Amino acid sequence: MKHLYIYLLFTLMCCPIVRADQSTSDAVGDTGSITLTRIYGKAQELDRLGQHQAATIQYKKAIGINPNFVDFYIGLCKCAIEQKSWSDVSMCAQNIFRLDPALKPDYTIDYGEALYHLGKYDEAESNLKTALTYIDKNITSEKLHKEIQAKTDKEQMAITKKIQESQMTNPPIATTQPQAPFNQIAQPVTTSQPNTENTNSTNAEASNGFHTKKRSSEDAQSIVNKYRLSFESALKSECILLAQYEGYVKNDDIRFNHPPQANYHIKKFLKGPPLNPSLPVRYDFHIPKETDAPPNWKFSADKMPKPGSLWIIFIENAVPKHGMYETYEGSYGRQEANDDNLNKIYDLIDKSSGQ
Amino acid sequence: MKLKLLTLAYLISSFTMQNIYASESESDLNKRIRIHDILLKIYLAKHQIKLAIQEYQILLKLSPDNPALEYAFANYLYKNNNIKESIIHYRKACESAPDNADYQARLGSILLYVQDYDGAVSAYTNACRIGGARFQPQLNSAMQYQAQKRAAATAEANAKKAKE
Repeated sequence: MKHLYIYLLFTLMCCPIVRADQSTSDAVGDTGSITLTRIYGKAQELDRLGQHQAATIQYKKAIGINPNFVDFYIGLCKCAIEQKSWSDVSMCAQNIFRLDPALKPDYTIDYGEALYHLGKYDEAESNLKTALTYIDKNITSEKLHKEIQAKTDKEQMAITKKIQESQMTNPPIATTQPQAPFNQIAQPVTTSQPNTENTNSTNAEASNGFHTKKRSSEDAQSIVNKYRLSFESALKSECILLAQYEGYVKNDDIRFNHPPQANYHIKKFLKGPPLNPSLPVRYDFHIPKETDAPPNWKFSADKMPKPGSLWIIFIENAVPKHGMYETYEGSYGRQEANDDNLNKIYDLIDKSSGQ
Repeated sequence: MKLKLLTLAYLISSFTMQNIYASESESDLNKRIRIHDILLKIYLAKHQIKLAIQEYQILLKLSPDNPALEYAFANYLYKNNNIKESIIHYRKACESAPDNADYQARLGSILLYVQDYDGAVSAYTNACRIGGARFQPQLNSAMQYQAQKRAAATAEANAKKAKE
């Protein structure tokens, strides 16, 4: 029995690893959404069965919901090659390079071939020559992934070091308001009145009340939040909606970390699957990382938005928890539907769908 | 017993790993062939003769036993008036695919064009042997030319002798 076990162990070591995410179960999986995992699983199954046209439809459906998940483009690219749909191959390759540049060695040849068939000879030639250099220099996607990982680890170490240094020199003060030194980072809604000003107006607020805190600590924190708290990242949400605030469910136990249910009415679907127009949302008062309530924080009705006001709601996973949808990064996932924010979102959606 | 099983397991694993490495290098070669094949098509489409010839040569180095590629290269050279080189590649194509009557006949017609009647008759004879009677008219005309050439050569030799 023991021998058999050793033998099986060795044999398994030599076998190719089967990806766990290929299952069609109800697990959230790598996609971060049950809906997407189902669609993706169906697409892969159809692909395996050789039904490339049907698989293409499913992949495109998945991309429509989340245009920033590289595996969808990889699957679609394979289907498109089988069907000799070169414009799709070209689109997929461009998106694969955008989302994971380390995969260039794997898809540059396909991209070059697609460009050749599309009559873009010069571009095709330069891409194919690049592909040749990858082979000559033995550059593989695995190697590039390792290099990128090493670089990221290094950056992460530097950030951690910076945070530690800043905390050593300036002990952190409890805060609920993450600072945004970069213009593109919109302000999370944590104040008594939801953010009705331009999302970039952070300086004036930062100089008042509990917002006043040590600058070095803010900087370190804001670097960490840089990527998460931006519209670019929020765009990865499964659903983006334009909704009108109608009211909240009153109860006696509303606390900083125990928010109420806010009721919205969906006016427009900017992205994602159609949901019931009545939208119950968990009304977080802060972003997930900021769990300490500001001093003297107490819930009152003025901490909720004005009924009838319009909001952009980012829902990361369109699966309600305890009867409520959770917004992207807590309070950040609710942004006032002013012209600035709407223009930014439309612009970003256009760009991502254009690719 | 345990040692034997362990050895067996090790052998299986090492064999599998060797196969993986072998397939990796093979896939690199296939990738190169694919890239140069597309580059060739691009240069053909852009009428970049010099670069296209270079790509043909690279492809022939990467896959030396490819009669179809030799034949295509020979045709391309012939079209671009490089007849001497084209004959070399027609011959290589015929050597690589000795059972292809069309290649033999094509070589025959090119040799006929450059007035190498002996070579043309030989190539057409091979074509007839492999492909049957469909190349017989070409063989007959090649033989006529050959006979004419021989007669002319004999007449010339006789005239030379008479002069002397």
